Amino acid sequence: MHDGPEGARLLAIARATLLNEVLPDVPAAQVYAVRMIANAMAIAARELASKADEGAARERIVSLYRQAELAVPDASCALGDIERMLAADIRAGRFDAHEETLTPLLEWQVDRRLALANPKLRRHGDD
Amino acid sequence: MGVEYAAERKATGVDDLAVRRLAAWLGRRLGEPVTIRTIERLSGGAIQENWGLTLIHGDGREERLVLRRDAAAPIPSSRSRAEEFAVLKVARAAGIAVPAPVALCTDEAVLGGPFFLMRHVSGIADPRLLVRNDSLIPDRPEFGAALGAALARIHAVRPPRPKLSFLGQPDPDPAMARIRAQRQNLDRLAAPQPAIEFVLRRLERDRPRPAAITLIHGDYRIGNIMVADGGIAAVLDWEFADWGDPDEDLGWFTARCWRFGREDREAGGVAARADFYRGYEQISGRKVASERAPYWEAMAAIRWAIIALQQGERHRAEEKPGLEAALSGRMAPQLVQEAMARIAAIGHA
Repeated sequence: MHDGPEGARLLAIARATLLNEVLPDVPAAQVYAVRMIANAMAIAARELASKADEGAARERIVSLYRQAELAVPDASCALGDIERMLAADIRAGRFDAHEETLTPLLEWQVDRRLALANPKLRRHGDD
Repeated sequence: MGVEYAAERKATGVDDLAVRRLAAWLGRRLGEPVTIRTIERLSGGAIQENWGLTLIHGDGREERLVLRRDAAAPIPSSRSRAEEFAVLKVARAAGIAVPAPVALCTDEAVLGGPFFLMRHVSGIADPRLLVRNDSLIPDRPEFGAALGAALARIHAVRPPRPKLSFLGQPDPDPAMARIRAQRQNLDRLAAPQPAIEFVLRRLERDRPRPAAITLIHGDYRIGNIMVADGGIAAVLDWEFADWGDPDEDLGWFTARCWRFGREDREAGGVAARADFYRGYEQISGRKVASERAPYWEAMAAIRWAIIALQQGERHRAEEKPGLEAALSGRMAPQLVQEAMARIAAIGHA
């Protein structure tokens, strides 16, 4: 255990110090590296704060299979295994006739990753 | 021998002893005694290592050379140094602005792996500077046309070419070959990527028949163009050259992910798409099929996404240290989003 403030707060104040106090005095050749460090800290902070909702992700894929009337994956499988099955079925063309239902799901998956990696570039709304 | 010592050289195996072996080998190759006065690691090159060196010829003449060799953990898909050297020679003979090839060494006893030397070309290749700084490129319409013209000269090299026999028989369906290669790359990644699979499946279903099969550069973009006096001094980094669909190079150059923050300048962030196409059409005599741009720009984004994921995995596997590699996997979602937006435009451009 540790004494406060918690890790997320430490990360936030460390990043603010880096950007506000260190960066202005950094030689030009190092500015890019410092910005990368700040970016890495921001990503790490968002990922630590995010609650992985695997159940919802799994449920969306299962319901996609139901709509497409394809053999439904076992919802008790790990999310990674279900995503692997989805990836293989897309490659094999089994979703060719279901792009309209598939696309929103994939956009949602990409958006969830973007929300952690680079939220400024999100095109689709929060959910 | 008076070589300026850089601490980093020791870590990468180019120590004083190696520099001495290099000078001895080069002297034998050039048929004159030479010395290497300075040698330093140059920036860039996730896949290749570039070293700048100052050579003193037997008659005292000084010459700047660049030595290119495999990085510690190269991506297996890129060409060997011997092949890249051969492409460079063909490109030079075809009148394309490239660094003059000097010598190839396949004897691993010299530097631990194959490498080649080419003449140093002065200029600026840093995309961030070229995109931002108008004084480096005073006439952007003219520069855009020159970029198109240079690419058209590359595409004028057609198979068969005995000196490029290592490229193999050209695949009559280069888009499908590219898709197959990307799927193989995906199969080697730890996590499944349904969205990338979706883009590749669409690219498979909508793939165009190539207008021609030509030499393609494979990585023609700002960053691989040396710029001096507002124009092209040299086209660099031929490690992805192959026979292919010339439209792929055009799409790689105009893809959003290669505009370095200047999305409004659709040709590499440095010029207008129309100027780039104009220069290309003038030299090639072929009208650019702009309706194919979304297809190859989607392919560009997805190839880049997969490279970013590979870099991230190499960092995780501790093959590739460094923050840039660590962060690159997190670039994949934006590239996938870009590719999905682009495939939606296929057939509607």
